[in-house]
Amino acid sequence: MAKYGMVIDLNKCTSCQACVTACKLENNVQIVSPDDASEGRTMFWMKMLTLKYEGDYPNVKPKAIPRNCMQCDEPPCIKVCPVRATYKTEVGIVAQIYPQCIGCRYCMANCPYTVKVFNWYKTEQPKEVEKCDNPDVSVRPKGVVEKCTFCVHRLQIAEEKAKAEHRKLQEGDYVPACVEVCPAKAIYFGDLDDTNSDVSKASHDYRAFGLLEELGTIPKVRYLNAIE
Amino acid sequence: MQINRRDFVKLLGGSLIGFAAGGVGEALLKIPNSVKPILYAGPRVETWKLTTCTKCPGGCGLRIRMIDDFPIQAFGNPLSPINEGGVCPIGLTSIESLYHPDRLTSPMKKVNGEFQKISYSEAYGILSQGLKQNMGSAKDGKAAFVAQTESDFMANLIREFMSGMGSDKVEIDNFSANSAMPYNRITDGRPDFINFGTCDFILNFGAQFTEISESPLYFTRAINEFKAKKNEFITFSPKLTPSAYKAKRWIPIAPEYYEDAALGISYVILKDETYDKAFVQKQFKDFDAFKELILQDYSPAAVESRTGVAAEDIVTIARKFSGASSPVAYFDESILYSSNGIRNAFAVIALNGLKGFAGYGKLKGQELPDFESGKETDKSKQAWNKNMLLGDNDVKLLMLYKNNFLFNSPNSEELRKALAGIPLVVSFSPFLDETSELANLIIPDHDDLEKLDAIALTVTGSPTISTQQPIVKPFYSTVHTGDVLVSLVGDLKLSPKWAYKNYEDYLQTYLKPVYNHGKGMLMNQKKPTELEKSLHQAGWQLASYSSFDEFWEQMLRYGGWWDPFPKVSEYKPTLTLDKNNLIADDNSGSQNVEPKGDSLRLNIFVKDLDYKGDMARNPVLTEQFGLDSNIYYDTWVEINSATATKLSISDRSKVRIKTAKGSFKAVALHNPAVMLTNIDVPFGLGHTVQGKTFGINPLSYSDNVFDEATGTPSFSETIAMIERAGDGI
Amino acid sequence: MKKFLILIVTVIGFAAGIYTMRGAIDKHYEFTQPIDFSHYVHASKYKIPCIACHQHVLFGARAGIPNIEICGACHSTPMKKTPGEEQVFGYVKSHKQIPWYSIYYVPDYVYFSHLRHVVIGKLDCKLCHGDMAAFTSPPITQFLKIRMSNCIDCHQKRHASTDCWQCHR
Repeated sequence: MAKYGMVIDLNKCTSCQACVTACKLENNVQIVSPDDASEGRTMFWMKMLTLKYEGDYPNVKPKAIPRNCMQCDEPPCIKVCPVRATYKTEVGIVAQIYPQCIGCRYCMANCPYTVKVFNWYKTEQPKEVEKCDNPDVSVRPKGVVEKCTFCVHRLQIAEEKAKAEHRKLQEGDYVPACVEVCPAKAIYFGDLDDTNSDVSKASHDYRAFGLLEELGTIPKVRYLNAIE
Repeated sequence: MQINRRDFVKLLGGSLIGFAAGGVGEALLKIPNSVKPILYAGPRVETWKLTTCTKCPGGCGLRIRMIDDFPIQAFGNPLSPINEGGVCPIGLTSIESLYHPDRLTSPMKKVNGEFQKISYSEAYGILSQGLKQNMGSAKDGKAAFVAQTESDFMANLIREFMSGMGSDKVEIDNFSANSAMPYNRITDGRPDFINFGTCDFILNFGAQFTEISESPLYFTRAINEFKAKKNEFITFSPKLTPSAYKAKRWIPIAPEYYEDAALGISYVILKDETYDKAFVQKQFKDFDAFKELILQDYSPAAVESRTGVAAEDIVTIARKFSGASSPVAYFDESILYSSNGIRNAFAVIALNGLKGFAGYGKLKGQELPDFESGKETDKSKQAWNKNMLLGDNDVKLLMLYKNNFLFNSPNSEELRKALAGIPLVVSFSPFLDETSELANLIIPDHDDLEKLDAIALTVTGSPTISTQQPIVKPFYSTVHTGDVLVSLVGDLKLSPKWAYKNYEDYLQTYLKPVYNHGKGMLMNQKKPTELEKSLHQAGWQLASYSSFDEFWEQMLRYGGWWDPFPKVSEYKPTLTLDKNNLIADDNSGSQNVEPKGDSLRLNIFVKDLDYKGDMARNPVLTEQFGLDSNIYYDTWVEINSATATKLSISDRSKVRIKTAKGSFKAVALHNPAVMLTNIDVPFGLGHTVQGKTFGINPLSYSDNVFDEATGTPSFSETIAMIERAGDGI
Repeated sequence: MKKFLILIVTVIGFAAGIYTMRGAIDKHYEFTQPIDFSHYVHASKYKIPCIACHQHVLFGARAGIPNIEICGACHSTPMKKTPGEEQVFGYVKSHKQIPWYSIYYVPDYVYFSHLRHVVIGKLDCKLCHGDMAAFTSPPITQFLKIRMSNCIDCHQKRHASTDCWQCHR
């Protein structure tokens, strides 16, 4: 079984936010109203974070990172789910099964990366956005938790196509939307267990690091530090 | 426990309520509204179509995902040499405008201050009647046209149309034309591209390469490759934009001082005598006068005292620049956004001239359509711009194409009054915005997915024409503005030999030479390999078509044409700089805005999500606008932590900003990377017409300062005071 | 205590309500189709295979209800004078789609793919849709009720994956 992972090269990333937009549109993530947004209820599965500014003025470098679900190998969120709505699949993706979710938000509290978002309201999507909803992904009802799924619906379709054509899933058959659109090709994605894949090579690069690795979550989304 | 009759009734009632709620509840759960349409849905067949994004000058190839023939998603076209599969947020959301509820669905005319829907033939009648009355010679100039388009073909059509109308009052806001304009004034044509193959040092004056530039997606890749080769890249800019922090060094500087910095660097090069002597002797006209002028006034110490850029920095950068084998000093349209914009650009061109434009390249032989008329306009000293509408009583007919200048110009109040005095204002805007709202007649254009257009560019070093094909049939009774203009020229006999039927015909005439010379390939194959290159040089053709019709059909289907093996040459222009190009006349509008005391410079910055300030009708981008600052649907002001401490303004507190024009409230945001003398406010929010109103438009609070030569507003020459706002917000 | 009892009874009532009303809800889905279409005539009498009209079975998630172009391919000239065929001509001539009701549908959070079941799993259409070739009138209700329990039963019987993410999204 493959073990999907992602490596984001911060040296190439220009923080253009194309991944953020692509994710929002691919997964029909709700656009919340301005009032909700001011209460911190915006919903982004992929988000640009400015962690800190390094250096003194004027030699300042912001450390900006795109942050999605880390798809931990030891996910803290699944341990607290009372209904097994979130669990780790055999391909290493931490799944979120919306019909199963009861909206207790324990997983949100237990996620050290705060990647999970909650559907507080059923907000009306703007008409022009609703028309462009991706039919491959369900629109989540009010009261469930959602998060980045590595665009698992794309895996469902890619796997099925490969099987129907009697071949194995090849590298590049399945990539999440953020990887596909990245203008700088800064995101590597693929099977971490396959030692020949770009992503597995990149994850062993000397520049590679994971966010909050000291917690023992073993994130499968890793970053490559910018070269100074 | 005893159960009496009353309790039994209660129990029975409870169970009945539960029963009913259970039954009905599931019924309600069963058919949610979102499922209902699926009952009638089609087979959900997925198809893909290729087109080009014309939202910016970049010309990225798009791959539109369609379900049952309705476009739902846009991705990048992997075979496009511009973006190679990548796509920016604007491109990703480019489909949404097609379904926008605020789209204008038919031509409209204003009757007693209200818009009334009319038929196209009626609208066309009114417009051609108005044009007939206002034809004339260049002297009276009764008709004016203010447009914004990234398509050179469309821009050229507008120019031809207006010259037929006998008026030279045309302003076409086009990023690449604006970037080329300073070159066209003092040289014989601009460089076509940065030669990234040889270039080893880039000095960037304010250009936002990866965000807003001639091709952001191409530059994103090119700059990354450039850096991977351990080349250096230094940015001068007033704000630490992504393009600045991706650079090796960021030199904070106010935009008016680009000129001083560039000439200060020239000073060092001239003193060191490390300039390209052969080039300078042959092609730099009046070099000695230039040298004298620089040596007089631009020593690093003098520059430091004016601009605040350390003299050592200037010297180091200058030595690096002259030491590099093919350095580039780069600027684009953004350099014009200051009171001395055009002189800034001239100074940077002069700096390039000292090294003989070594890092630039030029395409040899014309493989792309040539738009001479645009270059001619640039050469004239006093090209017309919209600010000349003020106090111009000759203009009786104003045509507007997508240029929302009442939003993106600080003198909007004055312009609004000027517009009110014009008897007929015609807009071709597909949406109501601040400017088209004032029109008497609107003939809305198609949406980008419904129309035909093309973008020609050379920025990658390969001549490329990206074509935009109609993905869907027009939803409403809108009309392609190109078609309107083509038929107007024909019907009013504005041009003696006008044989075009429609805009497609017009485009085809320009693209026939491209077909005729037989070079290049369509975007239907991968980038050719070295082997294929040698085959090509031996005479092998990449073409997959045998007639022009076939070529045209395939070009639209695959999203464009490009030449992977162009003939290129070095860019060695003749440079004609005189003293007046670099020194301001005393009566020019440039002012000294050095902030004193507690006052600060209001610097307006443009974010990549909001190219040209029309983001407001795009809900996805609007929500994302404040993502990196975590402030949504509101204007924020970035202030240096040190300055903020001095003024006792805490992070994320409400502040009031006062300028000469009034005051506004915003959320203060500490940021260690803001210039100590600046406060940075984002441009793009504060629309009063399109979209919902969030935040404020900082331009309506900034002083009316323009680059006199081009009419481009200055974005950073306003003095502002910042103070804590009361708690009552 | 009594309040607690009332609560319990209400909950039991709620559950009973759900259980009893199931049939009624399914009935709610009995549609009257616009044309009296006979699968028997097409599939049994003239031996047209299912995929000739339901063309997307082999390629995608949805089998697809034939559009009017597919009908028009054969019914461009009258064959038999039946009221149904008259109606079809009407639609063919005006290039309008027949407003069929889709009887089988899955909620958007479930991914059901015909490609996966028919091509990869090699299942017979009859398994879920019944022997449509025997019906002389168009279907008005689901043959195998689309319920997760039905899916899981079959998946377990055939050792197909019952991992949630394989179907839910």
